[in-house]
Amino acid sequence: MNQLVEFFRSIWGAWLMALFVGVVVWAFWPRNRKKFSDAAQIPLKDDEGDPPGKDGGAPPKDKKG
Amino acid sequence: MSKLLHAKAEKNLLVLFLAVFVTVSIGGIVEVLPLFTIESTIEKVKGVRPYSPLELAGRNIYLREGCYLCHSQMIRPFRDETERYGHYSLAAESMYDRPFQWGSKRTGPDLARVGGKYSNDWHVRHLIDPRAVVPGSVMPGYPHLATTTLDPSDLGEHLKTLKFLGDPYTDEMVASAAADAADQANPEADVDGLLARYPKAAVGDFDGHPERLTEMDAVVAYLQVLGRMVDFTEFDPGQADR
Amino acid sequence: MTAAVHTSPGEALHAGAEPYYEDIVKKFTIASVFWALVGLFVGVYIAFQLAYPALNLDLPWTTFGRLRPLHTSAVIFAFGGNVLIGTSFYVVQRTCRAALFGGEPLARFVFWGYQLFIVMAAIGYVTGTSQGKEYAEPEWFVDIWLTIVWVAYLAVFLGTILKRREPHIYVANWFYLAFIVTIALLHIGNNLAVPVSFFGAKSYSAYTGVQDAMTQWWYGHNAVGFFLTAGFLALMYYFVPKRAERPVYSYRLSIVHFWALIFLYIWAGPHHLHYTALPDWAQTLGMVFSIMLWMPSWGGMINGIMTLSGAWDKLRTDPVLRFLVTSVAFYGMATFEGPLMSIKAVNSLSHYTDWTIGHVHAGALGWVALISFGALYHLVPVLWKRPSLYSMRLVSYHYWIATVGIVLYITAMWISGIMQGLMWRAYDSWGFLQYSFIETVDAMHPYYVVRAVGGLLFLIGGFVMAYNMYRTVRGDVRVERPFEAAPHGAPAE
Repeated sequence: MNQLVEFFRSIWGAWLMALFVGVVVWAFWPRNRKKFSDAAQIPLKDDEGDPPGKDGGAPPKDKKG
Repeated sequence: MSKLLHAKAEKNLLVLFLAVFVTVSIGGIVEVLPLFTIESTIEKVKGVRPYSPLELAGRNIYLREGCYLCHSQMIRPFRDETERYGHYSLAAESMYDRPFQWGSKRTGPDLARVGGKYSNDWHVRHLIDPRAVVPGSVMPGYPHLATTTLDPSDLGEHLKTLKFLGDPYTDEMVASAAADAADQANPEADVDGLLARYPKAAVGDFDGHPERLTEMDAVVAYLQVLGRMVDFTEFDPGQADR
Repeated sequence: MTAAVHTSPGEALHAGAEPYYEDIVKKFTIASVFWALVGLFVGVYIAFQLAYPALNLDLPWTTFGRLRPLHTSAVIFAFGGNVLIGTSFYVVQRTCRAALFGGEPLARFVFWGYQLFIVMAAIGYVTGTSQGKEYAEPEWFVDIWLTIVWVAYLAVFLGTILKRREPHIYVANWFYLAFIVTIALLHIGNNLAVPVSFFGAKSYSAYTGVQDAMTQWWYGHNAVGFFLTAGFLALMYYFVPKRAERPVYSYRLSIVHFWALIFLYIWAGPHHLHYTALPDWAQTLGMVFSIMLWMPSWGGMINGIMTLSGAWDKLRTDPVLRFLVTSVAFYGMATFEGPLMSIKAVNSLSHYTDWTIGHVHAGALGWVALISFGALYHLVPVLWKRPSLYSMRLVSYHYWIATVGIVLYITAMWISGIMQGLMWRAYDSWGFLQYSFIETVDAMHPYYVVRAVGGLLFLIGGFVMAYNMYRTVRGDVRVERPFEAAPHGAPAE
């Protein structure tokens, strides 16, 4: 365990870079584009249909199905 | 399909939860844990000992009053700091500090080596009214320390707890804790045993009232031992790292 | 999709009928404002104590040493904590389209349990029950209570996400989740202690000296990183897009921001221990990761501010949005200053001085408090179903009073901090230290006065906000000239 920790500490630059590249690739993977642009809309649609400033009460109908 | 979707949603949350957990754990495992196992983290020096019961009581008052919020106990290895405060601090010097008191702010001066620099009388007057001895000081006064009596009866329990945590207190030390605390502040007491158990402890009347054991006695006893345990005339940094 | 086939219309109606729990969010909102005023007031008081020490009153429970933890805990854990838990309950319901898991009882337990934690901690500080670890002063029994409350909080949050009717987990919820999980980890890791007796308050830390120092600042810096940063970034990712009425500038950037931030932050703690007895390898790691943190931090700042691109005119007409955007700008400033101060050469000057205090307050007042105020201003009319706030003009006054207060505060601390650091290391022409310590204390006096005045302004702003919200809840609307977008080319106001 100790040696393992020692080893990872000595090459932290390399695996940090690998992790970072992994996250960037996933974020910019073309197939994920739609998923992310849908997700980005979530805060804006949570009270659609309600008059502005009057949102609240029951959530709108199920959209997932 | 609905079930599948549901399962996928739960999987997403599980993956997110685990990924967050692992991500924030790596730093701790690689950076914090090795300090507990690598031997060179603490130098090998002679003289550092656990606190005497009275010093420990004083230290607990130091924590209670939040002294660490304005006073550090960590001298950095710079010329100006070693000239102002003394030899730079060693990791070994706080090896019995639960918790550590290195501090983060110096609204007042560093106290890592304040022991022996001022007389007991100076400390007492300073703690009661800081501006009486240091004009311009912004430190609060602690007159109540001199009037609050200290009950040493439960200090044995404190030592027992510290012993349980691994500090090298002996059964003898635990058994004599209350008596040691009273003796350390009593100029009439026979302190040979006490000094054998806790070398370099400051003994005698601290607060100017030999007949009473007060919180002031405890705080001053603690302040007077700070930084005095290691004999730096015998300290060799090259040897210590081995 | 086909899922609808399996759900009968009746079921859908029933599921949709469970309303969001907003009463609990109201409670957290009121508590946030209350604790903000308490925490800021204590902060102003101890700031004046440093300028005029007679204010310590020589009483045990009014000294700086006991009130300072009261200030830090009141603003961070009481004000900040109530804002974070309250907004997370609001945001997670709306972004998941699901009512809170556990319903009213569990949410209420989290609310009252958390307030009890605050009150127990506060009474402990004032009466002298402290384990002597900065930002982790509460003793073992208070720590255990907080752990129980926190587990309930985690259950509510995870359970709500689990029953979500929205396929995606919105990124704000990632930040909230990282905040909840990591704070649990840090809280338990740092507070391991053995009580002297089960009937007494006193305990001894499981760690000593150098290991305790590292554990403490692993905790302390990540309280900044996950409580005061990740948690409030969740607010940014919900309330800035909401208020600007446009999606976040780049959702992809927010993903990179999230993972890079939570990964890097956890390593940065040792920069609080530069040149101490902590081994050099740990100090170096802390410094390198702190400097790298600058990148995700600014990625997040750009993401927040650029969300307004194409809607900059809203800054003129919506002072609430101005609070939100200015807070993100302060976030950018503080996260530039932080890496700078983690460089060992800079830290050798700045450490132990007021510069650190100034840096913390640039983040705490400029970032955390301003984004909280923005979010609370947004929430109050929504929660109490009012057409608008009582007065937008008062929001604008609050904005300017608070901003001037912050500027006074941080400039005073920059000057005093750098001056203090330079005076400590100054030598005269004979090679002796030029200043005694008390001379450096004396030199700080004018800056301590300016700092206290800056803090006082910020507190006054807080009272303006409380008044405005009180009138809003009552249902009043002040008759005033509305903010109108200036037509293109026309002079502003």
